[in-house]
Amino acid sequence: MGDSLITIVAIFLAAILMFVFPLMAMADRSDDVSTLAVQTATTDFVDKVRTTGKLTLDDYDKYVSTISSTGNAFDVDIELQILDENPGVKTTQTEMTKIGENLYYNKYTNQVETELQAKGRISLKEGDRISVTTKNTNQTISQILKNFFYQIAGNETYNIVAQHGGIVTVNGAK
Amino acid sequence: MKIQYLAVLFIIIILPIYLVISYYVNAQIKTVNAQELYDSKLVTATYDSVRSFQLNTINNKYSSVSDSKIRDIEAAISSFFNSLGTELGATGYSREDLSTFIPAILYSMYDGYYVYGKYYDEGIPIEYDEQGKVTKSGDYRIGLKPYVYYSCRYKEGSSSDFVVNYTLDNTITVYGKVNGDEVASTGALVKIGDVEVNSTDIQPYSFLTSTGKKEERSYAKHSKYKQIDINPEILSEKLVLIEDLDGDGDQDITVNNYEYIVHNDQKIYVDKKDGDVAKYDLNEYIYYDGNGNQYPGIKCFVNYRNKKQYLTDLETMAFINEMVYEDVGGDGHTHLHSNSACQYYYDAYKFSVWVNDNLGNITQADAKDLEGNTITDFETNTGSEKIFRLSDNKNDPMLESSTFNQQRINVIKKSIKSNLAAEMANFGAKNGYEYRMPELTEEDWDKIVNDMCVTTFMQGMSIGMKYYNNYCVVPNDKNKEVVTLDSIYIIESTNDNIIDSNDEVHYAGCEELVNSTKTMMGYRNIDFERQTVVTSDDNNYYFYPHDNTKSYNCMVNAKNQIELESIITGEKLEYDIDQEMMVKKGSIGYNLRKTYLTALAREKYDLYRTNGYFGVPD
Repeated sequence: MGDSLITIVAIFLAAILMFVFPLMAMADRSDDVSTLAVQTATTDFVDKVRTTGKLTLDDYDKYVSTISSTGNAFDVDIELQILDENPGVKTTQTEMTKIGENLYYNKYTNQVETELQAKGRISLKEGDRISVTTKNTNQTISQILKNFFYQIAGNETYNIVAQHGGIVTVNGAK
Repeated sequence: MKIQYLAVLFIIIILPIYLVISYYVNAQIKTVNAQELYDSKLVTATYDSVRSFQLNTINNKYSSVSDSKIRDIEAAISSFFNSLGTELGATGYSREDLSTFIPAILYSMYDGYYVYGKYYDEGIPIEYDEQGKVTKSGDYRIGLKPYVYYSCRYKEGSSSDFVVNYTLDNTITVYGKVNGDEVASTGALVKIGDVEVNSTDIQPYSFLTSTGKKEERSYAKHSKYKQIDINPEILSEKLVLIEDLDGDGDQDITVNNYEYIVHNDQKIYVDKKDGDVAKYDLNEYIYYDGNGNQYPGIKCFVNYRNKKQYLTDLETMAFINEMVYEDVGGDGHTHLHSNSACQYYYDAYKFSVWVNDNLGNITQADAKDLEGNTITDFETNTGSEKIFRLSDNKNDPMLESSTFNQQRINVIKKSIKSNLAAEMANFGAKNGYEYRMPELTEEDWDKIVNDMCVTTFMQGMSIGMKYYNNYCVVPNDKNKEVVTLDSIYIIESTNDNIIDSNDEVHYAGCEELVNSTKTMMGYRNIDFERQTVVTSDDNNYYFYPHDNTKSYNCMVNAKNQIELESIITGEKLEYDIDQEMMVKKGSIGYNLRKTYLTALAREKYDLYRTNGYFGVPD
């Protein structure tokens, strides 16, 4: 009786050691590689927009397909901050010793996507800012395995995240 | 029991494999992360360098003079290294330390470029003897190398052996032997069939010098380019003056609109009295025309340190007098007119006719190097197309697709590539890393050959599994060096036909302007930037030469413009999403074309040129 109990425990232990442990380790590695791929794609995408001043539907589609090719589903958040220097001009018109504040007004993902679908591209000028954040929305294998052992509660659990942003250096409206 | 042994054995085998894989993947991740980080930081630092150059030149009246330009560039280089040092978290590093990773920085300008890199300076002392005298000198030093022009030598037979200096637009300088004669001449090139100049368009005038000698001059008062009438225009801008107006001993700051023209590379403003241009009384300043009639001088001045410096030389007085008159159907007052646009097309026509007649048979095969061998490694082969045949309908130098433009791009690329490659190889192998010139993308070359740019190269930093090697090109489109097609902004009046501060300014390619019939006026983009005046008591005053607000429809919310070349040709091209190319869709309104072509010609003509041999050879 004691013998068979120990046998079962031994088999169980062996199964965990031989299958689950390497699986978890590889799943973690695969998540790392996915994060790297997504981070690279995000940085390339944002830097391209920064150095050309144009956000094209073509580039956006390529970006989305690159990150989807890692096998996960992603949520992309784009935020554009458009510079408005007119308040500065108006302030200096009235009072020569003052430099007016420049305004930034924001455009978010939905507006950006609608405009891209309608016109094919969005042009930005020097001084505008772009920032892109990508998070995964599905559960990766590593998350599933981890959840088996301990639950992580909450909606905002994500494994793969990439973020990049910067200022646009070139006038794209040409 | 055996199964536990198997399991433990399995783990003993797998664990090292797993550790090695893990280490390798982590190292790759670190490398790629470091690469991206450095890429971003390089872009930011390069942009900071461009921005500091812009700010320095916009506020500097003498920024086109070469000494001042070199100072501005050195300041921009300092900005770059400071920014890079801050970005890399290495603020303790001096410029020399960071310099080992920056083999070259390229500042490409209007008619040539500067390279910041390593060079051998024979004057640096290395060894001294006992008395302190220098016995050995010569060492490598890092600094700004001499200016290199975008030039190409052409040799046709034995009668023509000359050099052409190209620029970022359609202006060239030709010097050397052409058809047996020595020539040195600068001018803009246009397609000959596009310009119509009649003899009635040239107005002669004359004046007597102080010694009584009669000087005869002439100027263009009308021309026609691509069937658009080019007429003189009235230019005005805001100017800040620091003067003691009310006599109480302290300096008053005033900002007012003044009409101006550019003559002899100076911006000359005029005073106004009762709505008309102010003139001196006859007992103050007068000048005599060629027939001995006397005229009162016009009160004209230049801006010298924000004070009026009046000009009273006879040549300027005579020219300005020709330019001050009342418009037919105008407001009943005399105004100062600028004929720069008419003069640009007239001079370009004369120069283009000379180039077409004398250099019209030159092809790419005539391009030779120093030893006289044919240059064969240009990027685009233009074959047997005549580069300077300006009577050919397909060769319009103002358009990108012409043979002239192709050759211009070839020469610029070849010059920059060969110089940079030599510079990088010269930089020397360090720690087993050899510096090499990377391949620039077509998009980046496009920026360099059409605009002033700053290009930085960063190589040799160890980032995990490899060495970093990348570059960054940032164009500088707000500068005083070059007027490109997109340097012109257009102010559109509201319905009152007068251009003033209440009107909005648009990009030249804005959709709203295409068929607009309202009054429009074009100025350079840098005239809409804020300028600073610092008084002697260290107060800052800010003003805009043109303080129009930017249109929300095209400038603030940067929208697609129409192709600027279509304003020149008159055919509207639009991007078709389905065909994924530009297709013809209508024509451009006469009003916009006239405003744009006049403004473009006027600004190009008024540019300060440091090295120009103006005038058509005889």
